[in-house]
Amino acid sequence: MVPKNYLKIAPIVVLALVFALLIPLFFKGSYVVVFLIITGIWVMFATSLRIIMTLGLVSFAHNGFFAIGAYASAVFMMRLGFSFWLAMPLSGIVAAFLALVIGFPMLRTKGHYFFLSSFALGMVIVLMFATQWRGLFGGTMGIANIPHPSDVFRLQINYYYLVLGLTVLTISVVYRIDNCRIGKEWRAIRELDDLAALIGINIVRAKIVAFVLASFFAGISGSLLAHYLRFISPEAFGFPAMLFCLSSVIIGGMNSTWGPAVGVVLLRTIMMGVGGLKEWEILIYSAMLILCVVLLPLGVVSLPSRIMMLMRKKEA
Amino acid sequence: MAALLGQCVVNWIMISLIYCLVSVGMTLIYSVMGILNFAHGAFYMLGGYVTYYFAVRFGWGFWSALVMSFLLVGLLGLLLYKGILRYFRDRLLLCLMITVGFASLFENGAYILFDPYEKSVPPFTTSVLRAFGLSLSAERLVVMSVALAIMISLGLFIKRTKPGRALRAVSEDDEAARLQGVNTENAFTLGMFIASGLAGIAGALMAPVLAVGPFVGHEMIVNSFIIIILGGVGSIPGAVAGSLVFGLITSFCGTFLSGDVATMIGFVLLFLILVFRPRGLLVGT
Repeated sequence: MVPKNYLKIAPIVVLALVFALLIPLFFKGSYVVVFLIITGIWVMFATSLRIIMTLGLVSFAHNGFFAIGAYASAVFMMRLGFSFWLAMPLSGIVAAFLALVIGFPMLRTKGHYFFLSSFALGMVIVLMFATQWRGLFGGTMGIANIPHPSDVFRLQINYYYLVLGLTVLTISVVYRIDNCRIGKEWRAIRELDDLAALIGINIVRAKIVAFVLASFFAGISGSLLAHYLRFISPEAFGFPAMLFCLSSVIIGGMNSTWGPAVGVVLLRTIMMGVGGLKEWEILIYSAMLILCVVLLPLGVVSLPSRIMMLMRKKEA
Repeated sequence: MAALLGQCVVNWIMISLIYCLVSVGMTLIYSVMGILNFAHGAFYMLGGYVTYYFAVRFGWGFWSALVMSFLLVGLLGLLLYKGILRYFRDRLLLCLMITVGFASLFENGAYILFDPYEKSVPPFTTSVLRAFGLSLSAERLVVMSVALAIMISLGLFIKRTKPGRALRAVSEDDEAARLQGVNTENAFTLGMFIASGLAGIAGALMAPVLAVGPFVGHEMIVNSFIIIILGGVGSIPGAVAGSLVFGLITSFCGTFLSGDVATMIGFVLLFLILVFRPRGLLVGT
C-alpha cells in the first residue's frame, strides 16, 4: 500500500539521504565524523524505542537492552573470539531473546504498572553489569580495548557508512511497519486497547512482537556503540541515556517514523553547541521535553503542518 | 552483637519514618489525582536545600527552616499542578513524561545553581543518650519523634477534618465527590500541596543526618516506588506498611550484606510483585 503522503515525503527523504552520504566527505578526519557516527547510533536506538511507543507504552527498560547489546557484543568478540559480523547480529538476538523471556510476564501489566516494572527492570540490568560477575563485565570500570570490527573500520568514515546503512535499514523496517496492517493495529491498541481487543486484535502478541523487535534493534545499536567507542561502562547506559532517548523521541515526534531521527539530530546539534557539560545538557533536554509535551505534543515533525494551518487561518 | 542489632533497629525505625513521609505523599498524589509523580524525589532533595539555605546561610533556626521547607516545596508542588499537570491529568503517558522531565530539570538545575559539593547542615543537638547498653544520638530520636508526630497529625487531618474527608472522597471517586458538592479542584490542589510539603519536610529532617546533594532524590524516588508497590499502589496504610518492610530490608541488608545487594533485592522484589501480584503484598484489596 502506498501511503497518501508518499510523494510529498519522498524528495525530502532522498535529499536527507544524499546529505547524510556526502557530508562526511567535506569534513574528512575531523570531529564532525565522530559526531555523525554517534548521532547515527542514537538515531537507531531512539527509532527502536519508538517501536514500543507506537503501542502507547513507554518502556523505561530500553537502556537496559542497549547495554545488553553492547556488553554481549564485547563479550562475544573478546572472550569467545567471534568475528564482528557474527557478534553484532548475535548481540541483537540476545537482547531480543531476553526481551521475549522477560516480556511475557511484564507486558501483562498496564499503565503505571508497566512504567514501574520496566523502570525496575532497566535499573536491575544496569546495576547487574555494574556489580555482578566483575570478571566478565568489569564492574563499574566496564570493558576497555574492545576490538574494531575489522581493519577496514579503523577508518572513521567507513564506520560511519556502516552505521548509516544499519540506521537506514532500521528506519525502513519501522516505516514498513508504520504503513501496513500491523502499524494500524498497533495504533488502534494505543488509542483504545479494549476496543482493539474487541475487534480481534491480539494485544498481548502485538505487545510482545513490538517489545522484542525494539529490543533487537536496541541491542544492535548497543553493539555498534561498543565497537566504536571501544570502551563501555555501566555509567554510559544509566538513566540519563534513557532520558535522552525518550526526550529525543518526544521532541522529534512520537507519532512519526522520522520523529526520533529528527529529535536526535536536533538535540545532538544543540548539545554540541553547549559543549559537553553533562548537567547543562540534561537540563536543556529535560526542559525541551516538558515544553514539547505541553506545547507541541506531536513534536518538531508536526511543526510545518501547524504553521501551514496557522497561515491558512490568518488568510481566512 | 546486641548493640549492633539495637542500632539497626533504631536506624530501621528512623529510615522507615522518613520513607513514610515521602511515599505517603506520593500515594496521596496517586490516589487523589491519578498521577505518578516522578518529581517527588526532587521535592525531597529541594527540601534539604531549603533547610540548608535557611538554617546555615540565612541563620534561621533549624525548626523555622523546617517549616519553610514544608511551605516552599509545597508551594512548588502546587504551582507544578496548577500550571501544568492539571491539564494532563487523564493523559497517563504525557503526565509521566512531564514529571520525569521536571525531576531531572530540578536535579540538574540544583547541580548548576548550587554547587555539586554536598552541603552539610550542622546537627541541632550533639548529645548522646545511653540506655540499655545502647548509645543513641539524641538527634536521631528527635528526627524520629518529629516524623512520627507529622504522620499522626496527617492521619488525624485526613480522618477527622472536613478538607481531609474531601480528600478521601475524591480519592474514592471524584465524579461522585463532585456530585456531593465537594470542590474537587480545591481538593486536588490541597492534596498536591500537602504531599509535596511532606517530601520537603522529609528532606529537611534528613539534612542534618545525611548530607544534602543534588542527586539524593534519585535514590529516594526509586525506594518510594518499591515501597508503594510493596504496599499496593494507591493505598496509604499500604505505603506505611511498605515503608516499614523496606526500611527493614535496607537497614539490615545495608549493615549485614552490602548496599548494592540491598538495592538489587529491592528491584527484583519490585519487578516480581508488579508482574505476579500488582495489587501489592501487604494490603489485600
